[in-house]
Amino acid sequence: MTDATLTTTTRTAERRLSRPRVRVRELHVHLTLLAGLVLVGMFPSLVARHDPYALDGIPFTPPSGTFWFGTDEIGRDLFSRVVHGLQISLFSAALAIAVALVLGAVIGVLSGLRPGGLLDRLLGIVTESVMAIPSVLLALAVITAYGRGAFVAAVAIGIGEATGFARLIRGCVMQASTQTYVEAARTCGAGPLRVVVRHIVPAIFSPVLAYTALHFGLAMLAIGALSYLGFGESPPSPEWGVLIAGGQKYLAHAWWVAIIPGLVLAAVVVLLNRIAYLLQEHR
Amino acid sequence: MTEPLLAVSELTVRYRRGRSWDTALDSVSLEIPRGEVTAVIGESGSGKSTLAHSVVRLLPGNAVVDSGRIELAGEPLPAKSEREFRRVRGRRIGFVPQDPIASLNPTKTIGAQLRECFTLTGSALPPAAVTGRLRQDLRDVGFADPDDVMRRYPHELSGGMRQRVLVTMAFSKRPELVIADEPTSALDVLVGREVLAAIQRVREKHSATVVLITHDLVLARRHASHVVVLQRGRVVEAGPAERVFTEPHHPYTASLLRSSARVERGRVLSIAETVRPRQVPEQDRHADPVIELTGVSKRFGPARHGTQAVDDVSLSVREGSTFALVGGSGSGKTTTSRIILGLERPDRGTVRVLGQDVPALSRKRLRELRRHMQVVYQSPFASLNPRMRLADIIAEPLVAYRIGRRADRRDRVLQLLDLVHLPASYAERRPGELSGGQRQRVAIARALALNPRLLVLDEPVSALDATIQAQIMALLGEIQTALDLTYFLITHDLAVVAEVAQHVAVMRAGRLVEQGAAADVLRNPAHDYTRELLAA
Amino acid sequence: MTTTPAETVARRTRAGGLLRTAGSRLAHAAAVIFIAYSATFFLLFVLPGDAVLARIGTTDTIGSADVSQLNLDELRDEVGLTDDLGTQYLRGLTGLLHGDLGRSLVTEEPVAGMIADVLPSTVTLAAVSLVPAVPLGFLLAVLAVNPRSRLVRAVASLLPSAYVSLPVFWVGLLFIYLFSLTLGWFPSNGSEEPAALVLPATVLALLGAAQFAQVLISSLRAELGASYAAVTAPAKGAGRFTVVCRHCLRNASFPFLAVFGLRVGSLLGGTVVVEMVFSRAGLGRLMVDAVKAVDLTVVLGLVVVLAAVYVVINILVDVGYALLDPRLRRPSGAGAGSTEARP
Repeated sequence: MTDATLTTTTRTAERRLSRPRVRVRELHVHLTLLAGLVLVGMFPSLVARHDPYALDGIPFTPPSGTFWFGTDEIGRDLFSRVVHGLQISLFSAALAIAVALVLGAVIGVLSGLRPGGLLDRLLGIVTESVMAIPSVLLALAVITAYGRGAFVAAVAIGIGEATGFARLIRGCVMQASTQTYVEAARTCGAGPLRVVVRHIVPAIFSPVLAYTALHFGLAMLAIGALSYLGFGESPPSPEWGVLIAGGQKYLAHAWWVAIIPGLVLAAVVVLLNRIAYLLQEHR
Repeated sequence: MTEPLLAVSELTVRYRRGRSWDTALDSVSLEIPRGEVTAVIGESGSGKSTLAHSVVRLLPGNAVVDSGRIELAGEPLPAKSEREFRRVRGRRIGFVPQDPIASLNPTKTIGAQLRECFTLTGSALPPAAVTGRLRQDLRDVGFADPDDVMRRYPHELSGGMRQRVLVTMAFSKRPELVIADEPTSALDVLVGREVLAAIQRVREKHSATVVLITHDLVLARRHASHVVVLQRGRVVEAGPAERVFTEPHHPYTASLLRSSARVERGRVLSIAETVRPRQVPEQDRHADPVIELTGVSKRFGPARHGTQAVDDVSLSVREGSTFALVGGSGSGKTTTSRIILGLERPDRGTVRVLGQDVPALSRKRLRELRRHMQVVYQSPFASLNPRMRLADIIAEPLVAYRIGRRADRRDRVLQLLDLVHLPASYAERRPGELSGGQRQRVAIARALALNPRLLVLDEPVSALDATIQAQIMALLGEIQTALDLTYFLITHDLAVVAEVAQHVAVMRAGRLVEQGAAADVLRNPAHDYTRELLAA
Repeated sequence: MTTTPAETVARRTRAGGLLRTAGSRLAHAAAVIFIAYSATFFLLFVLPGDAVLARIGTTDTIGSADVSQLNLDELRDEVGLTDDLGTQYLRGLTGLLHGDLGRSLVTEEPVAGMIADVLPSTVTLAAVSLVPAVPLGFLLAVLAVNPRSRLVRAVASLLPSAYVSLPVFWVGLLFIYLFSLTLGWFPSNGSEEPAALVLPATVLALLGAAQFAQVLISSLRAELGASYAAVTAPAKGAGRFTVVCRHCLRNASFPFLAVFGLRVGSLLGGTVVVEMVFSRAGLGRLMVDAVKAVDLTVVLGLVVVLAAVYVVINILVDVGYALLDPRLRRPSGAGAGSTEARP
């Protein structure tokens, strides 16, 4: 074993090992990007130079300096429409995740505190029954009952997502409550409320955060799919699913009308997905 | 001395921890003589496991070998290719890992995993010969029916049996060198003794060299002819065991030897010899016993398939004394303590603590009672919430019982930190910044916050290093005298009992096999099991 | 949610015979279908009431029909909903036991027949995409942990998470644009010719492979970190590839099996959307049309059928689990001490 070979292995190893630091930086970059997106979502006119509903250009102008994403079949600026669509997408997904998080937290904490109990088993079979219905179909059933629209679609997606949150939170609560420090808190007199607030909630916070980031993206996809099928927002709304569905007819001679909004949606979801992964790695 | 089998020179290994580097081994040089057992002794963080893993080059991904040279039988180990090195592992160096539970593939039979030793190294032996040889090897480590063992899956064997299978694996290709990394630390004392006996037997039969990595001085003294002492990644002393144990050259070795009551002037003392002459105080205090159990039984699981965790246990603990409950894992000692604390309900029998009938107490009354009885848990790493500051951890009982105002609690926390000899500045720290011993001090401070009369000590030092164990036991003794506390001590270690307890009860499979004054039981054990434990 | 299916199986095997296990599994399955049916029934028939009734058979959105001006009784009579809810529910449930899902409120055809007509098309698509998805998922997972090249590992572990981030309907459009409109290799729509199956099946197969690979990669990494793979096997002289293939892959597929049922459920959801993109006949088209026409019985029938599919897949997964994992097949405790000998 010569020292020279050792040094080379050391160097490659060091390069491999410098990854954690890169990851923290990557997480910060991604979070900044996300913050920028949210800002644009709240104030779309900051970057959109055209009115998303105005017929500003010649129909089917390909992407150019004036119309970054081109124009659609009646000459509206696609870039402005995509930027305004971001607002709808973010808001709907936030609503869906809020519904899922509240429902999931209630079910998860109630069943996780006393695993195997009657309430746990009852909630368990109800959750499983909801999971047995594919989420698209579940959302469609809710829409059948309450009519189409962005709000109903978001809530419908949220109900489907709630089952996953409930499972995750139940598991985390169960795991956290078997920790010795939780029993230690009980034996030194802490009541159930104090145990949950001081010891269990902080322990489940970070896995739930990562899961939320991941499923925020998935909710955006699901809402897009419902709009694409014609059950979310309806034209002339610039919602991304609506844009893609509208552009499908003109795919042969104006690909950008359908492809670009989907690309933007995919990019946002990839970003959220990556943030979720990095959050999970960096507990 | 002849040429050494293994020679390590100037080995430096570092680990990446977040943004910084920890040096685990700092230019370590040592020689392992051929054909003998060499013990590498060190406390946690000494780098002894890193040393073992460096030799077989199975370091975790965040480790980097900075420099060093390792020679086996005079030739340097191949450095360049992993493929070349693979020929050394198994064939020339065998390895017995620390944790027998996770070290066998759960979905393959023992036989398949043993046979793999031969197929992976491209052995020329025909399958039938391999089976025959494995059968003999398994018999050598003490399995009466090798064919049955080979048909089984790991989860069907006990920890000790799994470790003996791993020993068979390590020796199967008749390597010159076998490294055993803390082979008994995850096992009960008696089981561990059998595993070491098996290693010794097989080593002698195949005249192999063994490196025994351990933190246990008694073990090293009994089994090794050479000793290497590591402290914080450096070799502080090496030499024949006889010499190192009788006249240590380095002050660290001397302090290690002092911390173990059982090794004195190079000789392992029997536990009976280490019993401190302690008067049994306050025998005539005429007070009610603090804890009184009569005929307590507790069963887990369904009627037919369950286990009788506690079986007809009766004992009584006098005020101001230390009562030790001794037993191996699964003996029911922890369940007994949970019954005393009111965390489990007994099926039968009465439980009286501080004059109260514990199982009959309402939740509110039990909470009142818990003010007077507190617990110190085994693992100081698990018993403190890593997200809380020490001040909040120690004050938690005060907050829970709404005692005092913020400023009063703050004063009390500082007072308690002082009591356990931690600086006041630690109040703002979190458990992650503390060593194991310091964390256990925090756990003790929290237990004392309410001025309890009784402390249940659940293996309070078994997760700690020997030198730290001695310090914590000393602290507990000091506090007991100062605050006039009663201790209910749960432990597997009779050496601890010999040091501190006035009364002892020995538990096995849910039953008390023997109890009485500590000095009597340890000097003249009446039961075979106690005798076996004492001999370990 | 009480216990994982595997735990349940393990406990039952210990407690009693296989028969009892099977029995309780079936009861559980029946309960899941029953609850799914009941919840959907009450969701569809009770909560929204008259407003929904008014929209049946129309494609209006909510609120556009003025409820007060309609003769609700006449409407109810027309679609056969005159009975009170309890009677309807019981009738539906009895029908369900006989395999009768009622009649469509719009076309008055039997729902079971409508579903049976389009089911083969959807099942073909799902099966054709599932078959390559499983091996492809395993391949990606092995590539993500094994090769020496960091680049290969990085790509193989990033690809799956990137693909599941893409909107499936958009991938469909992209494929149509590239392979049908631009290159002209495959037809973009239709259900008849086999060539029309290529693009939708590819979209779904990639989705399935990506989802499977994600699960497998994380469980493979966990197994590789376990002491038997990280220390024992290499100490015997095993190389990385041997460790992955002979030790870890099998153990890593247990968590994969556990989520397989769920994944197939979400793939079915994807199938629905993909069918719409490629204008294929199938459950997707039926579902979308039924929702647009507020055809309550068809929606309810679809829910029951798909819940049943989920339940059946999960039972198969449980059986597979019990057969493959020796820890469940031969629970410990049975004679563990018999070979113990004192040396």
